[in-house]
Amino acid sequence: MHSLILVVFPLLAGLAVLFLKEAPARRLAVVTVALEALFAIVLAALFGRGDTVHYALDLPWVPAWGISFRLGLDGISLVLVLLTVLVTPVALLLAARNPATRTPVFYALVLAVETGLLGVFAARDAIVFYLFWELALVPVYFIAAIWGGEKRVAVTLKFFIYTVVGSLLMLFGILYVYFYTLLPHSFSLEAFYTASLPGDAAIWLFACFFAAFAVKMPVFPFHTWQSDTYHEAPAAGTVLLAALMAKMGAYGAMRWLLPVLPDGMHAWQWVVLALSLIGVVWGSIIALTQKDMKRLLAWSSFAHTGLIAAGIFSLSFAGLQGAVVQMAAHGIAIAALFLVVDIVETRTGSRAIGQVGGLAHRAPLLAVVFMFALLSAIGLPLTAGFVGEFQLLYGVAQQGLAWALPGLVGVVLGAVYMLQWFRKTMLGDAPAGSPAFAPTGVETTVLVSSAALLVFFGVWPKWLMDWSGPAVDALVQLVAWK
Amino acid sequence: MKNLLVVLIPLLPLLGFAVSGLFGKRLGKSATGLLASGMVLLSFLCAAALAMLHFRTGDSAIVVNLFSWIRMPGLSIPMGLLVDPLSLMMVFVVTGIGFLIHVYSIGYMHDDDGVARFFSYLNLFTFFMLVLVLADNFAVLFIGWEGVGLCSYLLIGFWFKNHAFNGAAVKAFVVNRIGDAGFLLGLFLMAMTFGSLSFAEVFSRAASFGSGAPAITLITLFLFIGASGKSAQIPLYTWLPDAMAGPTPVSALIHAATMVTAGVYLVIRSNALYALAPLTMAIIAAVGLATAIWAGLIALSQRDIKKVLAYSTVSQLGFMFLALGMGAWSTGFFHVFTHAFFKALLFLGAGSVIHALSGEQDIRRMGGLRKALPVTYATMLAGTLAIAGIPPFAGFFSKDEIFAKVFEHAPALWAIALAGAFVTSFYMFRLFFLVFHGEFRGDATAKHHLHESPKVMTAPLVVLALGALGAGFAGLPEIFGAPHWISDFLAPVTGRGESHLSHATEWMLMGASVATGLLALLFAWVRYGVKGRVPAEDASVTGVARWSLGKFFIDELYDRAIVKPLFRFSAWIHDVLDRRGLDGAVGAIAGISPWLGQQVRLLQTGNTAFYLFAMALGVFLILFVATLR
Amino acid sequence: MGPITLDHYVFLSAALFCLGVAGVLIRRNILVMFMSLEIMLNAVNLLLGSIAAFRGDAAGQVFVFFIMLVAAAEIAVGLAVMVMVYRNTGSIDLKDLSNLKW
Repeated sequence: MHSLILVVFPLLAGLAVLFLKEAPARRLAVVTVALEALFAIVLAALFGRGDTVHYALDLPWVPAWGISFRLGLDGISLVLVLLTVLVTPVALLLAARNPATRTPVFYALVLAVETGLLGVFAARDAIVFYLFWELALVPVYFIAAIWGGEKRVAVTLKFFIYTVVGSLLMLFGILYVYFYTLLPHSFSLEAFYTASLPGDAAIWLFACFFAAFAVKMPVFPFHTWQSDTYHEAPAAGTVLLAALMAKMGAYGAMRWLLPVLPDGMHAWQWVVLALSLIGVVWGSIIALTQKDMKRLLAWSSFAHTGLIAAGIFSLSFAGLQGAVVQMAAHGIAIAALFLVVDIVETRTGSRAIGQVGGLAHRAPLLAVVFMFALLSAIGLPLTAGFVGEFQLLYGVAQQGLAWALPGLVGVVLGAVYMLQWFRKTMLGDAPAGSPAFAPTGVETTVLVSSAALLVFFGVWPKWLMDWSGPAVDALVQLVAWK
Repeated sequence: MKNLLVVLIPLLPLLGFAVSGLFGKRLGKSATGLLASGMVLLSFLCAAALAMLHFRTGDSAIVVNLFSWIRMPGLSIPMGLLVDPLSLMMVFVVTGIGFLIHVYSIGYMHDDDGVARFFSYLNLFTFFMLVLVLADNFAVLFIGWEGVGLCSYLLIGFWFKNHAFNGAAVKAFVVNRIGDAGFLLGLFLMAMTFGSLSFAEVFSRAASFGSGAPAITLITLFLFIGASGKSAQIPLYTWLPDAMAGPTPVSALIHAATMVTAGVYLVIRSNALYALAPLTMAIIAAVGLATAIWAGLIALSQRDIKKVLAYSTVSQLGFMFLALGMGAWSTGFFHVFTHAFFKALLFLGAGSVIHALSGEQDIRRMGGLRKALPVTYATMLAGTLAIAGIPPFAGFFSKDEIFAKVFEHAPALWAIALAGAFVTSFYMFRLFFLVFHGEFRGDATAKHHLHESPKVMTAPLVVLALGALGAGFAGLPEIFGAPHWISDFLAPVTGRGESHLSHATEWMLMGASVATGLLALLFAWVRYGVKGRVPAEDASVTGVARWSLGKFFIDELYDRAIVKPLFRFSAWIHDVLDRRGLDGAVGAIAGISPWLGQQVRLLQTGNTAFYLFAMALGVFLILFVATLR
Repeated sequence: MGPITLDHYVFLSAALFCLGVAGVLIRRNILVMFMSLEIMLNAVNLLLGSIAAFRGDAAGQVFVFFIMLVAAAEIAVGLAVMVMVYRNTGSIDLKDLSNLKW
């Protein structure tokens, strides 16, 4: 029951938000996400050990077809749920500090996305999973298409078609697997794990599922929607996309791809591993010459998710756990960085790299927290980014040391483009007469707590590991077992 | 009690960082300076107390496991600290010399606006450096390793209004990152080979591998890539001279005395592995010697006082690696130890000169400073004599020991190294005479401003000069009959090196290196002291000297061969491959449906009769097919 | 000539139906096409009624009433549409109705 409340509450609150004026709507939305965060933290605190699924729920829905409203949290889900409830407030903050997006409808859409994401991370039934998967997509589509930049319509349509094509292929895959689950047929996760697929079906089914997850993450070469969409979407939408929705793909691969189709996974492993690593190098190199801060972050995100994907497809414990840790680290860091970009843009009127400079003088605090998020993004030890990156690279290296090389290229180039960006934006001399500014109280709180979280989980990643450990272990068993 | 002391050693500077970072502005300049210096001093005292409590009796190492950091099946990494003779010595160097440099900085940075920021960075650096040397496994060592790189970045770009300085800072970080990538590869291979990253376990398990095992050779090579990044060896040395953009105390602490020796420390620490990899050892020796000569040649014609010292640091680090390549671990450390004194001294002395000249760094506009800066003059002389290897100064003993080891293993290399020593002595005395002797070559206002630095700056100079004079006595050569204190102390970590040279050979070697040093001194004296030559204008330099002045144009080479092509490639891969290629392909695929629509809509003739006919035909066909079955 | 069997009815209704189809396909006058359509409907009605009678099952005849009802409604709507078409185009020829053409 806990998980149902956790998942559905934001959506219900979002419906209520629709009928309010802006100010009360904002208050209700803030209270909602705060309660969600609190609730999720309580759930995490009470989270037991072991690989069993906690807070499980099984409400019959269409019993004849074996569809049930199955929810539950294991360690991997828990980490992502926590990430979701912590990042959604940032998106809400970004929505509220921007005049154009300061409307109840926008808040409601953000809350709907939260429900979609939490549903995806908690679902243990394929149909329920698919439902929330789409529920998370549609509000983001509207966010980008209504409040986006100049080219929003074309760009958002591209994004939408990309993801919908992937989703439909996945739906087809889900139905196919369903008919080969043990009798009585069921859409439950366990039934999917034990399905006996005919012949080589796993090989092409893998492609169907992979399409959906690869588009969402994205994995090379399914990424061409990414930089455009991040660039066009309003700040709140970009944060949702980069910090959270990219994780849906990686999570989906871990939960619904690897253990459901281990044969397909093994057959495709080298291909997808190579694609992921190409993405790391590709994104890193392109990020070197980006002129727009949001595009720079988009490409760096692409490189980072590439490494996460590579860790997942390395099928090793280190890689899979590294993926979980890095998803949390990257989610927090990228949300903070997008917030920094938005602050810079609203205060200086530009987010072009090279047009603004010397901000460290005008806003020292901003420069400091920017530095922290950046250090985590480039994987400096004692930040959460390092722990994730270390595990990911170690996991990939277990497939052969040479596989780690592209990842390390990403590590080196990451330092180049991030520090160049910092240098051009924050350092140097400020133009004469430019006023000093400080982030507002709320912004400061968010930024400082992001930095604190990144350092905390860099020094003390034990919680992340204790939560995700048994679940990752079970996953490794499932993949190796078939 | 002991464990607490161990933990306090790195924690005190971290506390200093936090306090001066958060409340520095409120505390005021002198308070933050005192606080930062005090924290490092306390750390030094903790180490001293630990030495008194524990190591007097010759006990083995202390290991403190704080908590489990990263934990996976098959690889568990605790946040562990290790105090053994090697790390204790390094702690003394870091905190001892670090303390003196902190004190010096109080005077040097007095007029700067960012004093609080400066001291917080310095303390943070000390923390990471202590983590580096106190780590009990390679992963924790890597924390310190990257951490000092970060602090180096922050301090090089300390005056962040200057874009060139920031560029140097980024360059330092990125070049180090390249080395760190190698380091990480080594870590992964190590973890996969030994199932552990802890020093004790790795070294004991490595013993079961034979000498020259491929895995160990690879691991050691990867680690050496990391070491050559941090310790500025060929081909990754270019960042160190640029790093002189930072304030001079930073150059003394980070880019001379401590951080850059981390690579040497890493190799000494992993000597159990390197001893099993003869190929790597040969590469280290070659790289070390090449770097020593190469950087020395560049130093010969530099005009910036700090650049000369920077290249001299690169060169001296090369000598250290040469010693390590010979398997002379304690000798390499001995040179780290003495070098820390005299190089910190030289940098601080240079800082004092720069301070007196209000920021002038070009030695062509110095000269004759010995009257105005007597203390600086005397202490710099001690440092220069030490680095040139003139007895009884510290550099003589450590360098002589290196040369003896090299002669023992490879006499040919010894001859080259001796040439390197000649170069060293020559460029150092060139610098010395150009700065302190002859007539002052600056303008009148600069001459008017000349002043000796305050006591807070000269006191550390004097202490360091005493060190440059006396540090060598910690490792007297065997022929003097006195115990080699450093080598004895480090024996539990490095083992005891055996020397097979006869006494006569040793006397000969010693004589050769002293003669070389003195000869170079003489040349420099004649050329710069007597004849009063001053380096020519850049444009008029031709021939070989031009290559030396232009640093052999390696920066330009890297820029043209790697940096620029990479950025061009980046633009190309984005514009052509990604946007036009991939996104174009996506667009083309998406274009299929409108195209298909174009084709199919031709069927919509608008002629209802045709629709009806098509419908009837369809029905007929369906019925026909149905009856066929 | 023997007694009238079910076959006779089936053939008759098939013939009527084909007549209707041919009329719809060949004629251009919407009114005539409409009448042909009615012939097709009545052919089906005939078939339903006769089979129902032969089987002794009233269900088919019930259907006939439904169809007649629907046909009546259809005619009402269809004639109205036709009148509107005539008012707008001045013709009830099918080939004049190609506004939806690409």
